[in-house]
Amino acid sequence: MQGKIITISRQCGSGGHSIGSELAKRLDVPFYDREIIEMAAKESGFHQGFVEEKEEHMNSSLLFNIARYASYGGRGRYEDYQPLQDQLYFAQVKVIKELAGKGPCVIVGRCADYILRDRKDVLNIFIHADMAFKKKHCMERGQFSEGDNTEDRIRRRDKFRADHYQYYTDRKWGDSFHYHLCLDSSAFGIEGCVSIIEDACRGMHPAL
Amino acid sequence: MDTTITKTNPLGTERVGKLILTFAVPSIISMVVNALYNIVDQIFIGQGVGYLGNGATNVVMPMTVIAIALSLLIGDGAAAYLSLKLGEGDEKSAANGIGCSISVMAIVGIVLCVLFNLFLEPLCRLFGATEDILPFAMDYGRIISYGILFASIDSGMAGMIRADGSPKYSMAGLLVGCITNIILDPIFIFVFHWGVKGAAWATIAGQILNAFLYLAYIRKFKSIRLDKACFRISGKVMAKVSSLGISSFITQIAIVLVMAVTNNILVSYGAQSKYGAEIPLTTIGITMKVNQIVSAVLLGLATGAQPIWGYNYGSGQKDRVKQTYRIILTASTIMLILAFLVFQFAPISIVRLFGSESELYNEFAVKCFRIFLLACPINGLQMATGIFFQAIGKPTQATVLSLSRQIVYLLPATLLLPLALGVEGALWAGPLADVLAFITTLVMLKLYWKKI
Repeated sequence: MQGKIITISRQCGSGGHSIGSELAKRLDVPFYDREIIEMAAKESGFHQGFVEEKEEHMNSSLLFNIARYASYGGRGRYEDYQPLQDQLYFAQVKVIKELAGKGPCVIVGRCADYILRDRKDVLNIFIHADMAFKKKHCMERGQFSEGDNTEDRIRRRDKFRADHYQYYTDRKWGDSFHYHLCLDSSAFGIEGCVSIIEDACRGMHPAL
Repeated sequence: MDTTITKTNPLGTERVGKLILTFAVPSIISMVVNALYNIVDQIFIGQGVGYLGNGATNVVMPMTVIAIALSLLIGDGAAAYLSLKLGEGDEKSAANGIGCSISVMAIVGIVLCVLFNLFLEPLCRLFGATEDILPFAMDYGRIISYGILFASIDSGMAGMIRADGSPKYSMAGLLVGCITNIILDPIFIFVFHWGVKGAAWATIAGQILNAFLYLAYIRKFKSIRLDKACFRISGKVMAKVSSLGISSFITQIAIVLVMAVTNNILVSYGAQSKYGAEIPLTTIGITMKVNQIVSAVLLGLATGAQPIWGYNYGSGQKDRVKQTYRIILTASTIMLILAFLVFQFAPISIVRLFGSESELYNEFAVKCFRIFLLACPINGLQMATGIFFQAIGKPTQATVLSLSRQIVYLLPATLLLPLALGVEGALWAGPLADVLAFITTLVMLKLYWKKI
């Protein structure tokens, strides 16, 4: 029996990556997070360092939002030339659709829930958590070093994710009705979340 | 397989000089044609009507630019929306975006047409019409306002058609309009003796033909299928479309602001000088439009280099990125130096193109070219660098550069310098803004060049 594709959207520090990788192990399906960047890099002909830089360093100030589109119009008109950020996104869309076509898997982030919206075999999950949990989780994973203003950086990262999602999907990131399941990882714990999602999968698809 | 794609993309391997030629020539042509559109009327009016007629076109120009700004907000936004949705493979949303934008654009065009007609006189005064110029401006503006709907369709749909993959069709529409205008101008002005009205009729005849060609394209879109339902207006789609077109809009509105302020400053300080109010207003308009042609070549050159910059930056070939930048900068500067020599040593031959007038008129016109464009050789750096930053995905720096000259430097300088220097102060605002923009660019380059 055909299995499910599981997309996990997650707040920064909520443990979405750990939940996804553990879940993939238990279901014995491939797990994709940063791997998508590598594949998109190959797809677009851009080198990986550049792709990562664009992923991490797009900021979301008002000026940026105005300025971002300067590449489309502004001084000259060159609609036939797409801005680099968009070229990258299109490459990721292609990669994600291809991966989904290959069979069941777990995909973290990158608007995958939206990109795969026309498929019927997708289970969309959103993971969130309270700030204390997120701070602790980030510290444990060594994502931010000591002395950084962790709380601020978590908020900024989430703001960026929300803006990025909104820009490409015209939907609000984290709006519960876009997902089949929204989980608070600070309430259930990483293990707890994995089990709940696993149950959900098996409940819908006993063969998995 | 993926790696072979990378290797065979000519952007990453072909000689940089050859690539620039391939990409830049079409974009230079389209920019120059656009700039010519503005200047042709001026030449015929100057020869057939005189400088008051030319002053009138200067006063009406901001109204046209307001219409262009709004239609670019929608049109360039819709073009971007089309690329965005097609890139993702969502043809239905792409079609909705285009249809809805065309509907809104038509409504905006009609509303502007009515508003400009109702408030023509106060608008002309707002943009600097004097008592002598007002009758000409009213005649010219009345007819131009009838054509606003078509002008909106022209500038708005050009981008959509290009984004659909038909740059040649888009170009052809523009050329047909421009050539119609050039042919009808002398007939209406010299044969029928219609004066500024003739120039206005010729302009809108070109705009109408252009608009019909573009509207005919609605059935020919290659990447999407437009049915009736697509033309239904959706607030959500329009919000997204206009957020994508906002930078085109801001750039155009900056132009309106600069024109309105410059016109008014020249009129009020000119009235206190021996030149009178009208001569400065007219001559600065001619100077700016001649300079627009030079800028069009530079912008065309730099925008043509965008794909080369973008691809090579993304694929990590930094040396090719820098090599392209150096070539563009060198070519721009050589061109500007040539223009500078003409502006400094043969300005009167350019001035005569726009009609023979009094000694006083010639004197101020020559001053315009010599002073206002004094620093033009250093302009290439700011223009090329602004587009360079856009191409490599640093839009914040690009916006700072492109808006700083107009808004942060030129506008205040135009307001302040005349306080000390009288009407000529407004001319000195040009080189001052150029130098300040040049310094800003150097600082930006110093900050970011190493990281590139």
